[in-house]
Amino acid sequence: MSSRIYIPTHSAHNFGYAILNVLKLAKGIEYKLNGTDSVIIDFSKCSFLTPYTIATLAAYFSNPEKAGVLKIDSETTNGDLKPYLDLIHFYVGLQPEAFTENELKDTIKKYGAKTYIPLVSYNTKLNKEIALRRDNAVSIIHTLIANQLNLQPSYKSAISYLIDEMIDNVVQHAVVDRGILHAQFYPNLGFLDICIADMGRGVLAGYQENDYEYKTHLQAVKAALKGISTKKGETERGFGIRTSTRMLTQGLKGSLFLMSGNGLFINTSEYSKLVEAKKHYWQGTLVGIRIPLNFEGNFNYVSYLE
Amino acid sequence: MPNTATIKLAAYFDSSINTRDAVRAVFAESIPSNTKNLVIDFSDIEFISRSPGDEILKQRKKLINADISVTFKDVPAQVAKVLDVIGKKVDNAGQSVANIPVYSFSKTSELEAFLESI
Repeated sequence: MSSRIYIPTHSAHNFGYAILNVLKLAKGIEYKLNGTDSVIIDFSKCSFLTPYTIATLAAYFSNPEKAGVLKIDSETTNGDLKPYLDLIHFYVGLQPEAFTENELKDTIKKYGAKTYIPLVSYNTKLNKEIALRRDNAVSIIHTLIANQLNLQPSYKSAISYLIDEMIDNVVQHAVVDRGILHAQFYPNLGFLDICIADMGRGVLAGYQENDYEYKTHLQAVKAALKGISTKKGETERGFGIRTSTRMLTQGLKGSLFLMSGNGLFINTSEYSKLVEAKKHYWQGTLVGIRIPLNFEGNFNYVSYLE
Repeated sequence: MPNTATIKLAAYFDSSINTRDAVRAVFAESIPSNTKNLVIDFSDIEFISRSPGDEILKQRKKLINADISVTFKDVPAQVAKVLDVIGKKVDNAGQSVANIPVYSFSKTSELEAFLESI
């Protein structure tokens, strides 16, 4: 028996609404997965998708257990949606390890005049070949974003740093085969959205499996924000989220949300909030950032590092 | 100098170094066993992120502890700044996180209204 989930179109553009859509989507999919043999993803009511929604869906398909029971109803991707989804390689994503560096550069060239990058599904293996291919692929994506937005080097460095920290966190901590990256900017709306998603073990398990005694997802998210490394005794390794949020919100005046389990952290240039989203759950970690398209002058990203 | 090995980072990375594991992988396989002096050549590297920078400093510390001298060669100014900042020890400043308000919603509708207002 199968069940259908309708992806709603995105009718408002405030940051909180984008987060809410992702929470609802995940909740809806999990609810339907619990009672049926398969879930069909239906886009018939949808004409606009954010990188957060795309990355969330792609993360589901990157999980072999979930992918086995999810199906896209391709008849429902109408109008402009189908060519867009095809172009970004939805839902499998572009897998960098399948390309040589030159092949990847050639593939990426066609996005030069676009406002989005392809969906990237990166292998998180630690062996040298995969690690270097991943690193080089990330460099290519940085350059693509910088060219699309005509960024000065200092802003390219800042956005590169933010993406690198998020990707590194997945590779180091998620214990998962693949991570997902997607990004799009909206010239009329005035912002760039970036999302990194994984369906790994999540922040809480990362601490508990290293003998920390945190019991809730919220406690774990708080610990991560404090810069506490999951590797006991290593004081340098845990600083990524803290410096990233500071650079993003104070420096670039952007916003971030991080969801792991039912722990949700929201940080804008005006406030920070931690939320225990009791009836929502994300297996793994989902990070979304939004950066205003204001790249005037020079940006001293080094001053936000520690 | 005898027993000197060089790791030219630009041979592995495309002008920017983004991830910790790539650095670790390079160090794991690029240092001959009889090395007494290691030169890490940063020429043609324009950017380094915090995690790989931290990994380079850790690898350097490990090598020094093993009586291998390490020299950073041709480090661009911007990359040097990043390494300097990362290299400074910082106390865990949990106070600012302790002040972040925590919200809990017993009703989904309340959480939704909260998010819609952001």
